[in-house]
Amino acid sequence: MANTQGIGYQWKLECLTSAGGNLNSTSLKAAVYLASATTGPSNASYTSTGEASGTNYTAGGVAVTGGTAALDGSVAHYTPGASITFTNVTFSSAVDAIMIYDDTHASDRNVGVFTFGSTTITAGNLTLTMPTDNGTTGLIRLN
Amino acid sequence: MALINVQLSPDSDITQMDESLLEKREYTAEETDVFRRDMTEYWLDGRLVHSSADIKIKKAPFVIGAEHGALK
Repeated sequence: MANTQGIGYQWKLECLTSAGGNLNSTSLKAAVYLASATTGPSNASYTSTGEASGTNYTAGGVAVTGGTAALDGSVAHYTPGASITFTNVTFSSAVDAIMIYDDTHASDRNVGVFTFGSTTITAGNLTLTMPTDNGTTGLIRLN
Repeated sequence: MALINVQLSPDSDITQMDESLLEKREYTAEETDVFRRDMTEYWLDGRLVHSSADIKIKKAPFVIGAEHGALK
């Protein structure tokens, strides 16, 4: 019998659910960024730099419906509980990313930036449909 | 009769028009192993007056992994 190296499964789950970044109880928001912007994981927090603007879009974005962090075997995962939709908007320029960020704590911590290709929205909806929430496809996974 | 939200010029307000007056175009703009971006557009006299995107995320684009890590 040999020892097995690896990060503790439960600790991985607690990375997603511990104080300061508890995805199960934190209110999240999603902001949209211009295709010309340079937003990414190096942004520690939500930023208005490079954020989209236009008709019916409010700086800071929209609320994200919460999900439940869980373990799927050895993988801790989390996915928002519903699609993220920006309704009846016109963006001033093409957009290609959203940032999901913590709206509960003053830090406005950047949870993740997700890109989807340069997209023009005119008097329309921008909808991001979430993947199946499991250890294989979940939006945030600690493997 | 379906009403579609439209913007007839960049500086105009968003209004509504009967769908029958518009040319509808639906297509998949991009598909990767991570997402698929489906577009629905309405055109009026060669002008784009409505554009919606439905982005289906198939899986996380990145994973925080430690499978291959080792303590050194």
